Parts: sequence; C-alpha cells; structure tokens
Amino acid sequence: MKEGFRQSMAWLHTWSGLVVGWILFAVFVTGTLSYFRPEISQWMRPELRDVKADANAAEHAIATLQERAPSSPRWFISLPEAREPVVRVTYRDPNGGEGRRGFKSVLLDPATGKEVTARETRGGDFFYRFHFELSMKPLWGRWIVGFCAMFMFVAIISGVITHKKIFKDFFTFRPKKGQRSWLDAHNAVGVLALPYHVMITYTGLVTLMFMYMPWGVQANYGDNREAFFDEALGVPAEVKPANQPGTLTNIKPLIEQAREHWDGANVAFITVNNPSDANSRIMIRRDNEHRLSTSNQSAEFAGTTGELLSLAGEPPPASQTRAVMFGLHMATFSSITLRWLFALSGLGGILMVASGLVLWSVKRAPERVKLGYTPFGHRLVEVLNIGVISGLPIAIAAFFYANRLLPVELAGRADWEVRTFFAAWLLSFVIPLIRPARADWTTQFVAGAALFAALPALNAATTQTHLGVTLAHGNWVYAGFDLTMLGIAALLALTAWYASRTPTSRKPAKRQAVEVSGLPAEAERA
Amino acid sequence: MSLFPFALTYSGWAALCFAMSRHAREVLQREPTPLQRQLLRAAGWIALTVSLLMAAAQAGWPIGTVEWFGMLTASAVSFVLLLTYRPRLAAGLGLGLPACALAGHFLVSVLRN
Repeated sequence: MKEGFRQSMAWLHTWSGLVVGWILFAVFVTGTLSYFRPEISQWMRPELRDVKADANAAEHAIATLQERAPSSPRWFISLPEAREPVVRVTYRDPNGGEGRRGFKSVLLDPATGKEVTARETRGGDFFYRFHFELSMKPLWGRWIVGFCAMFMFVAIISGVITHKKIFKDFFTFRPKKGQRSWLDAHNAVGVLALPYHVMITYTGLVTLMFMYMPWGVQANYGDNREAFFDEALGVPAEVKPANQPGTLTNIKPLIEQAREHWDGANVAFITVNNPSDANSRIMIRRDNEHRLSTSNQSAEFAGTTGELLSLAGEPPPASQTRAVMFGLHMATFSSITLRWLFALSGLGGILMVASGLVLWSVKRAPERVKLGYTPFGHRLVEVLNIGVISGLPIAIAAFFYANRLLPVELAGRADWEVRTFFAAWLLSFVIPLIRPARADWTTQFVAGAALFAALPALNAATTQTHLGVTLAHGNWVYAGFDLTMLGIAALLALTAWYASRTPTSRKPAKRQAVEVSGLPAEAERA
Repeated sequence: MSLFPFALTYSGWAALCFAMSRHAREVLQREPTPLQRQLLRAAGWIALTVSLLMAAAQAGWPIGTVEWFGMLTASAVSFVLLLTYRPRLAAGLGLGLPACALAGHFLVSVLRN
C-alpha cells in the first residue's frame, strides 16, 4: 500500500458505492415517495374522495367496534388527519379474520362510523415497506437495507474525504464536459444536500438498530423481546382482564383531557384493551405534527370510570434521542413546505446515487475504447444501471396503472398491483440486454415520461377523482398527486432528451442533468 | 414558514460565492479587492446566521433548524443552477430575492389590514 490516504478513500468510495448503489437508488426513490405515503394511499383509493375528518370520529369508531367486535381483546383506532381523513380500526374478528392472529383492519367514515369500502390496495404502504424491506421477508429485507445503509454511510464519509476541493468547487458546475460534468454534478448534489444525506443515512441506521446485533438482547431477555422494548422504549405493561363485564365511558372528555396536557396537540391513535371488561384501559396517543420526536406521548385511562391513570411524559433521554431520530427520518412533524424540502433533498439523494453509478461507467469509457470491446463487468453495470435507474420509474407508473385498471373485484387485487410493479421492472432489465445501451436510456426514459404524463388522463377516464373535479373542489390531496405526476413526467422527459443528445460519451447522461438541461447553456464557464 | 429566511440563505450563498475571485471574475468581470472579498464573505455568513435565527424564531429551534438545513440545500441548488446557466440573474437575485420577499411580506400585511 503505497498509495496516499485520499487515493485509498477514493477506491473505497468507488466500490462501496457501486456494490450497493442499485439497492440504494431504489431505497432513495421509495423513501422519497414515502414522505407522501398518506397522499398516495388516498389517491389509490378514489372511493374515499368525499370522506372528511370529523370531530366525533373516535366516538363513532368506538360505537361501531362495540357492535362488531365486543369480545376482541384489543381495539386499535387510528384517527383521521388532514392528509388521510379516514379512520382505520383493527380488531380481532370473531369469525376469524384473514390478518395476523385473526386481526382484521377496516376503514370507517369518520362522520358516521360506517365501514367504507375501497378497492383493495396497499397504497403508499407498499413504497414505505419496500423502502426498508424491499418486499422481501421482513427480516431479510431489513438486514439487506441496513447493510446497504452502512455502506452508504461509508460512501458518504469517504466521498467527502476524496473530494479534492470541497470548498473551492462548492458552487461549481461545468456542463458539456463529459466526465468532468458528471463528477461536478455528483459532487454538487452530494455536497449541497450533505446535511440531509448524513442525517437520513444515520437516522435510517438508527431506525433499524435493534436488528444488526440482536444477540445482546437475546442473551439478556431470551425470546421475550417485547420485554426488552418495553423497558428500552418505555411502553407501559398490559393489564389482565377482570373477567367481569364493564361498559366503556364516553371517549370525548378523555380526549379533551389528554389534549389539555399536550398544549392542544391532536390525538392520533387510540388503543382500547379489554373493551368489554370491567378492567378496560384506554390509551390515547398524541400526534407528532409540530415536534421532531416520535416518542409515544400518551395518556392511559381506566375504561369504565374514565380516571386518568398515568400520563407518559417525555421518555428518558436515551429513548427520547431515538424518538427524535425516528421523527427526523420519517418527517412526521413536517408542514407541507418542510415536507417538500425533504422531498427535494431526497431527489438530491436519488440524483447523487444515479450520477455516481453512471460515473463508474463514464470513467471507464477510455478503457473500453482501448480494449476495443466491452468487458463483461462493464456490460453488467450498464444493464443494471439502465434497468434500475430508468426502469424503476416505469415500474412505479405501472403500479399506479394497475391500481386504476385492474378490476375492483379481482381476488388478491393488492398482490396483483405489486406483481405488475415487479413485472414492469423486470421487463426494463430484459430490454437493455438485447439492445444497445445508448438507445435504451432514451427509450426507457421516454416510456417512463409517457406513462406518468398519461396517468392523470387515465385517472380521469376511470374515476371521479380527476383534476377536473379535484381542482374545482380544492381537493389538494388528489389534485396534488396528479400534478406531481405531470411534474415527474416533465423531469423524465428532460432526462430522455438529454440522454438522446449527449454526443461524446458512449454512456449517455441522466437524471441530474435533467434539472439543468432545460436551459440553454449560454454560460460556458472556464 | 415565510419566504424571507429562504431568500436570505440564497443571498448568503451568493455573497459567499462572489467572495471567491474565480466566480467574481466570471460574472462581475472584475477581480474584487481583498476588502470587498472580506466584506462579501462577512455578509454571506451574517445572512446565513440571520436566516437561521429567523427560522428558529418562527418555528422554534428544533423544527426551525431542520427547516433551515432544508432551505440551505434548496437555495444552494437553485443558485448553482442559475450560476451555470443564467449567471447574471443568479447574481441579481442575491439582492432581488430578499427585496421581493420583503415586498411580498409587506403587501400581504397591508392587504390583511
């Protein structure tokens, strides 16, 4: 090892980035989409268009549950919020539900408590879970994502060290200079959004931290992992039922009481234990809209008398630290502006990973010219780049198309949506295998752009939640989704345009060039 | 979140950028004197600091800080893109954006009353 520190870091950066880059790209894309998880879920259930949040939602939900599942040992009620104004209740189905341990989840109209039926879909939850499980078995998926996130952290740190002129070139972007431009673009999106990249990677690692080395917990708690989490995160212990019937008190005053303790913050979630028992417990949890932490600030009431039993305040510092990191990662706190700032930084991350992957190929173009043929490794990277970077948008669009086009009564509909997603993605790997790479970047970006551009039209043809209706009624969740799709289409179209005209390098350009390529390059800077 | 802190972060970046002789030569067509450079650099850091204080005053320190980092990234990216393709506009907005934000703020408060 005669090389200097910086060279060895450059090597580390190149290879740690390449190995996990494709997964990171998908993780970044789905993660950025997950900032809009409620909106996506909402759009994918157009039947819920007119559902509105209601002040008495909790009362209505409890009335419905008392009728439907009085014997369920526990009820979970997630209350409506502005972005997804529907009530979701989960209870144990007396007839044996299809879900985990017989639990069944149902959507209710907040204003009436009646069940609302919407098409079966995983909605935004699909992207959310893919983001950290990759649609694999939970444990495997999380291991892989956690592993990639560690490499990501390594790549960020080694990238900063490798960057020769991080301050001098802070504002520099030199277009139309082949490899130079790629490096500039990669550096710019990396450095300018560096606080975000560091934060999101680190907090991401923390959200999965109990996964990496489970043996310490196993040694001390055995199989009783729940006990560990209760102690580590401060979840109160469960009470045993008294086995005597009891009636629940009215929930409304309890909610008011809890909100007073939280300076008027809204209630997000209610858990009722042993709802028909004398020893019932009502747990009310606040939302996290105006604070960073996601700690479970909650109030526990005796279900029959309504007596306030305990008020879980701010948890101890260690647990609070973790809660703040969770909050930062998930951006549950954020106002709409802040959420978009996060999403833009997320886009920066997407571009950083994508440009890094392409840079690997661009840098090796002279080598290919010298050899006179494309080595297998280069070809592999190329196909994977095209399939992942230009294919994922197509797959996402296909997912939304399936949501609108599959028959509503189809059995296992939600799974078919997911299958469509993967089928479309797989196809975008197959095509570059048989065609020259250059043409493929363009074709697939054009395909992606066309799919996204036509989505609002398809929406108009198949539902009553199209722009004509939603804009007129100021329904911004649906309208915003359609408009965002058009924005994505424009971005992809610009990318396609850029890819088609990049003259010199054999491996054409991509997404980060998008934002800049719309403007004529009049300022050719030295 | 008002636009003014965002405009300030943009101006801050612009000032810091033109304190570097390379960028100043390209856009302003002249070499800044050492004094000018120091003043620009100071102005840049002050603008960034004040924007942080304003963001924190508006949204509280925890969320204000997060917002501030978001604004830093958004304004830096817009500035770099403009600097590449519309350098004069990029420089002009350094003064123009805060002015617009202030004017807009003023207008809104007048209209409200």
